[in-house]
Amino acid sequence: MSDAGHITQLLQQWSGGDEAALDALSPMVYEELHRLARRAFSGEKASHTLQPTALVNEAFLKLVNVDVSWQDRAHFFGLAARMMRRLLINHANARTAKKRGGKEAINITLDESSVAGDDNDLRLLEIDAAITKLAEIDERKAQIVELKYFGGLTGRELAAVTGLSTTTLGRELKLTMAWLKAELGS
Amino acid sequence: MDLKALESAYEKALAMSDAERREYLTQLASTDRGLADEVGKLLRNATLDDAVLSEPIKASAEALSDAVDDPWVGRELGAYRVVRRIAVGGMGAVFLAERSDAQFEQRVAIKVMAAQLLSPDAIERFKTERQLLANLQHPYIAQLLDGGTTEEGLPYLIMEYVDGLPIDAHCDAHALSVVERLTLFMKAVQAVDFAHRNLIVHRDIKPSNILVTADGSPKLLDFGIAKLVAPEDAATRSDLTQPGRRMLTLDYASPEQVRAERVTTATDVYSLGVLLYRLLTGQSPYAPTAGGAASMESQILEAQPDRPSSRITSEHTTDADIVKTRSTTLGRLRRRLSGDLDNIVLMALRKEPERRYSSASAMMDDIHRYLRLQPVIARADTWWYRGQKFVRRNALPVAFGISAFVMLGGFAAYTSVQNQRIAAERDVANTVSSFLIDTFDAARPEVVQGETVTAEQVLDASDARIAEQLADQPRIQARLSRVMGDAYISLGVLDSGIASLERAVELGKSGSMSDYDLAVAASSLGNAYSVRGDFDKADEILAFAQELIYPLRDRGPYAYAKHRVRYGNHLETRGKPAESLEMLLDAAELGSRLEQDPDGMYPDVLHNLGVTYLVQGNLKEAETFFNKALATNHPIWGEGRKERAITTGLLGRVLQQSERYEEALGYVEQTRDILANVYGPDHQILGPAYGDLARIYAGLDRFPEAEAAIQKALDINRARLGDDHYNVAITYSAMGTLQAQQGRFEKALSLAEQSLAIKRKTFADDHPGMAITHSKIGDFSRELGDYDKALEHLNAALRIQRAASGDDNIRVANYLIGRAKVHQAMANTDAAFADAELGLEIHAAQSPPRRRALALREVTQIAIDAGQCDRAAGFLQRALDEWQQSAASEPDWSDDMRTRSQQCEAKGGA
Repeated sequence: MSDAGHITQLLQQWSGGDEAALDALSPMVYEELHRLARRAFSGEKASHTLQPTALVNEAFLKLVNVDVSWQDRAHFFGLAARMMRRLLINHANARTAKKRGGKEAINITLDESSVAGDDNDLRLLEIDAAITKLAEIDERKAQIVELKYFGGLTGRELAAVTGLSTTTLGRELKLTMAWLKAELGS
Repeated sequence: MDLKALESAYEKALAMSDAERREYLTQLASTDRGLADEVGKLLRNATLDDAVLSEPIKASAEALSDAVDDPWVGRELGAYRVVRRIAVGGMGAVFLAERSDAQFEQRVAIKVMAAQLLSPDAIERFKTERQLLANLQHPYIAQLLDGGTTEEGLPYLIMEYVDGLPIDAHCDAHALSVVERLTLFMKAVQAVDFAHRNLIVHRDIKPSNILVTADGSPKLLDFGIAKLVAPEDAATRSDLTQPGRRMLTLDYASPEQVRAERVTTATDVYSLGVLLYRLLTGQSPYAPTAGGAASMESQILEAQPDRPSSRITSEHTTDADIVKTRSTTLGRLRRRLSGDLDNIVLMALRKEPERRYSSASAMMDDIHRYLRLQPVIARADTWWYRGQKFVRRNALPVAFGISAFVMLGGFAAYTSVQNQRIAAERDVANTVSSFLIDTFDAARPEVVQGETVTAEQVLDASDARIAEQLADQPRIQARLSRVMGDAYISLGVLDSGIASLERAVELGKSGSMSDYDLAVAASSLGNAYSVRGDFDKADEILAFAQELIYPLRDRGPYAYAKHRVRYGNHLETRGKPAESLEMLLDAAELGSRLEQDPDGMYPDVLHNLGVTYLVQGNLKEAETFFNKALATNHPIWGEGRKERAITTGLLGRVLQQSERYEEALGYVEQTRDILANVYGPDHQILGPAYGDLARIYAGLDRFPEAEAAIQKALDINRARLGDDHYNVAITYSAMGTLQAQQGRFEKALSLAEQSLAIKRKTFADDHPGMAITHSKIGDFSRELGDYDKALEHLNAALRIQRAASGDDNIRVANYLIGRAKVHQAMANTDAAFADAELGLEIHAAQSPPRRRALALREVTQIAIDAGQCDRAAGFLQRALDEWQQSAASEPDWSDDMRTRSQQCEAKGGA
């Protein structure tokens, strides 16, 4: 079976409630995002504004048969957004750890010579912590944020994936944004 | 923190004016200081600016990219700058690069040879070969653009950049059928053959070297590159087989490559065989073993590969994708491969190079023969084999063949008559005949180079030639135009067909046709206009044909009868059922007396009579005539034929309208399958069948299937006929009914009104086809409580239907009961019962017991609503009695109605 076929099947199993399929799926999506990141970002920095959105979409096209149901598609984007978040956080962690001279630093085989400002990494880690805190209070709101900022989903896609109306989403997002900004500012 | 409380307080505050908000917050602070602080914090952050979140995330994504450090990226090679690494393989690395002078945008792939592969003379050999490769220009071969040597002395090649999927992945991703796979494969073989003619052997044919671009064309990569880096001397043998250093994929390597013997064009033929094996079965010819490369080698040298078809079993393919990605079933795929395709693949895979196909083109020819259902050379040429092939070929003129057989067949019959009649016509006939032969010659696979040719394309090509080459031979042009026109129309390509027939008629009117031929052409044209919905034009040309052909009816009773059928059909569409019936009964009389009926005119007339009765709502007569048509056993109405399929489908419609859904479903599904098989799944001819299926499914309470079917009907009808065709109108109307059955009356009403608006564009206001739409608008309006509108439309429905069919008609009865419901809803009980009783009377005379029972059930409900409980009980008893005549068991609504009847409370009567 082709990769896309295999992954699509896992996705369908997961949608059908098989959590083991998620365990198999997560590392595959993570790896693909990682691979795409390395590939897409190398050398094209000058000409492209890089967005996690593009990566997640590319991963979808790469990994999943395009004719999957909306439900499976939604599941995939949910998962991909989570993996994208994890990927970026892992890298931010790795870089800050390296800066601190720690040895725990993570399984990253890339050359770390040119690292973006660690200020940014710290800010990202703060955002991550804030979203985690939000998830403890209101899981749904946290998921929406994840989908929007790490998955790059916009209005109608968000509605399709979460099953919420765009008006509900708009209201939720406004509140969530205010809450997160307040949290990050404090 | 309680987010719910915070949320509602925040929402509340957000909706307030500034002053209100300050007051609200102050008040809140006095009761819950913490909450007030939180709300205040949220309000201060209530802006849409999300840079705090999005910027760090974006920046960290970019930081990820900074972590990549490829020393090749940014390097300049020739006129190109390396953008990124695409792949690393045994032979070196491949990079994507762009023109560094940025004069124009050009992306290329650059292959840099791995340093360890270079031998002292490698660079010299490289240069010689490069020149050969540069000359290899073919649409299916990635072009070698340039080459050079890096500062470090590594040779590189600059090639056309191909953005595509490996051929096997492409086939699976698009679920290509076996025929589509073969067609694509042949394009690749064509490229290989081209290279062979230029004395270049590929040496490393495998899926990853054949990419298929978005437009479906294959591009072969890396021609001859294996030779550049791996000259065939014994010293390189170890490179070939050593794990880790192997440059050639052993999966596709030939025995001679494993032995490091001389590589020839036959080597590529072998690899093509492996590739075809994989494309067809999804598997390698040799079983994967635990023994690794050595075991694989010994298999390549010694093992006889299984026949591809023998691998299509559940034992070999636990992978369910194998059939799904080939758009077929396991059994069908196995049968498909079994025989010729097995032999073709195994011939390419023979161990001895000299016993394989002698060339790539020989292999290609054999696949062509297979696709044309001709004997292939990969099999012993025994007499029974030829016979078997011949039968299949003639029994199944599929794909591009269908029009060839239909047209040539029809034409042969036609010319035989003509030639007997007038000797001078023979030259014309011969020219026409050779023209047609040329036409189909042009469609031979060799000529079109593996493209799939549809009948429509063949016709288009001929159509252009008729206009160009025969301008000075109007008689031939006229006749060919007529033949072409009929062929187009039989394919459902109305516009082109009409254009051809118009040309024929025009030429005929200026003297290039006999009156008889002109009349036949005009009759065809009139029929086509009528089908397209150009009714005025159809009126005119059919009347013209009638005038012309009537004096000639003895010369061609068949053509005359056929014309009468067409005219009759048109009149029926036009809403003149009486004239239509007369025309058709007349034609049926003629038809029953025909001595020869090659085209099945008689069953055709019977069929059309069935249609006319069906349109009038005379289901009993319609059923009779459809059954008569099927019972003629005329070969054209034989099993698997389009004509039989359509008659069967309409019989299904009669049964559906008689509410015999289970029976109807069998007939209509059969029709859908046969038509889809002959015409393709999206042909306009399938539109009505899907409409019927939707109604049947709805009748069986299978609504999701009904919705899917009706959507398919709409897609088909709109794509082929445009938005304003009456078939589209009928589809909207059916969609409305479907919505209503699910209780969505507003949607239903709007669809029915849409239908009426379209019908008004093509039908006169009193056309019988308008009645049903009016009645639906009436019913839906009543459900929505708009009684005036309901009455208006039901009155219109009744007026139109009565004018078309007289009073004693089931539809009249239905509309009367529909109107009775409106009257009752308006508390006009007397009028309600008047309509209801009249409707029941008509049903009693015209309808089968089941239909009568259902009508009585509706009237029972009217009586209950009117508070006339005794009457209601009486109607219900009659309904159940009627039902008993048609069914063994009680209807599923009997308990419900009994309860309602018992709970009925008298309202004092009328």
